Amino acid sequence: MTGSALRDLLHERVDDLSMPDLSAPAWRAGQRVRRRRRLGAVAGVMSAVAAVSAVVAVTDASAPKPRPGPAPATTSPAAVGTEPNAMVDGTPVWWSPDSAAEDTLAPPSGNGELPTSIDLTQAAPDVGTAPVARAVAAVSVSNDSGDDRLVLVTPDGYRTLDVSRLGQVTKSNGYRVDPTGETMLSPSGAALLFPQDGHLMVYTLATGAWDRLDTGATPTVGAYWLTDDRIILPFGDQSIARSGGALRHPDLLSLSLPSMRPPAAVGEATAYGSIHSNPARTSTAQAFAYGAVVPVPSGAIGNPETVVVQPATGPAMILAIIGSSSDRSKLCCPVVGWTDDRTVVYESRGADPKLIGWRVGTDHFELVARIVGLGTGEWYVASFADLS
Amino acid sequence: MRVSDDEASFTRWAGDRQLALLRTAVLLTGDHHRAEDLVQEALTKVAARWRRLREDNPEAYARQVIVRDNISWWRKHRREVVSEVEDARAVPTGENATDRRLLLDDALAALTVRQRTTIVLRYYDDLTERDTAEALGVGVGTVKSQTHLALRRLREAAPELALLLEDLR
Repeated sequence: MTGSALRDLLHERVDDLSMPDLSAPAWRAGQRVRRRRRLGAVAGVMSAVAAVSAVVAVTDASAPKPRPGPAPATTSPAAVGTEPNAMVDGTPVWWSPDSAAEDTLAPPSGNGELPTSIDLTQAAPDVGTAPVARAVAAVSVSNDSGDDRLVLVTPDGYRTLDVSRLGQVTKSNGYRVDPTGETMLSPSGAALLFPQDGHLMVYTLATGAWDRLDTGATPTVGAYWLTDDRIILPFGDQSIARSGGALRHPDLLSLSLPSMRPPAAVGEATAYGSIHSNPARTSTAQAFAYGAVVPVPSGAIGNPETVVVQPATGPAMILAIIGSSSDRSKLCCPVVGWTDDRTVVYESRGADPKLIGWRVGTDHFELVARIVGLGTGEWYVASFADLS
Repeated sequence: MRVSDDEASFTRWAGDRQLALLRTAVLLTGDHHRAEDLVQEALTKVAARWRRLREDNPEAYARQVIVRDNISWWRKHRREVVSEVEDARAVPTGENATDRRLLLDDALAALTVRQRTTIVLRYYDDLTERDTAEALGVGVGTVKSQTHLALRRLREAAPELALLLEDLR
């Protein structure tokens, strides 16, 4: 195939395209972004409370009301602050560290089983030949060539699991997806769940046993563990009881895909990733895509992604994920669990992925773990057991 | 309402360049609707930074936004590939424009997102290897290797197209 002929073909392919004029709406949208950024910048100036009020009043009477607050992140537990960076319609908003500041965060003080560095280059035996009772994380690593490997992070090191027996699975919209995903590892880490067409496959780490559970025509994509004994097929209103490694026929339950009702400041942003409760079941947390109308610091991307924490009583709390468009990809920061009742953990996906802990309602953040060892052109999808 | 100089210059630039950006986006995605979304997002980001970009290279910035947003989208949905559908249509021969379009679409769909982006930027937008690397956020060496792999894969994926192109030469 010659270069010039390829050029001709490409031009021929798109020469007859047309589109509506997007310039005017783009300008208006761009100006909204600028206004919100300016508002955020003002919020960061602690000494200009009066000026802040004046600017907000002039700019937009209905806009979020930023409050002066502490620095967006700190590494010192001694300096924990509880004053939010802003209030929006009565909802407190805190700012996450940006990608650079994440590197300076201290590790958590507790002794969790998750290593502070999840090294995906570690040579590891197959879990079938070196069984282990449970894993703390399962990481599926892929590349452009379609070579996938599943790395299990275990309390004593690493294992791999050969999932070549599994095929892609069909979503209800007809698309085919890989069976590995963010919900594959059970809460205790003792088993892995893989959706397949017409059935689920469950792998038990301790025994190396693969169990098949037929599901009929119910779509299996999106299946997740409610507990180690119950799997939910969210789109099929079914749950499946699982006890002692034996799989029984589905118990029919009316369950819908859980999703948090967002506070007004998050607007119409879409929830993504799993919803996670803290160990005491007094708070839940979920991530929301771009679109929150909240102040951000100067230079940060506007309408940020957010992590929303909803206590059983009291108002929600919003963590605005701070960053620039070059270092925060879309859907960057799903919630992956809680290390204790007060600390929610989210993934910070990017070139240097990490798990970041936020002590809810404070400006204290922790670097729970780094995910290292991704090769050029590789990416990952991780699933975590209960982190507490 | 008075239109500011900034707004006037932006809408003039965007009006001139949006179709070119859409064409690039369609070739990158193979999906007109998603391509329009990418262009809208890119134009919005350019508008938000217009004073800084207007004297620089707003088109390069817009193209970079389109490329990177598309890769982000693809990585999120990368596990999703349209199910193979039994296709009763005749195998395209490449003898007319419709056939060539079908063949090209199929061949581009066989590439990885990075390979496809490299091909579109190098052979449609006529970017240099360095500019392509900058848009993708990778090194020049990666662009070279991805181009080589992509061309080989195109030949393998669409032998009818390759033969046609050789004949046309």
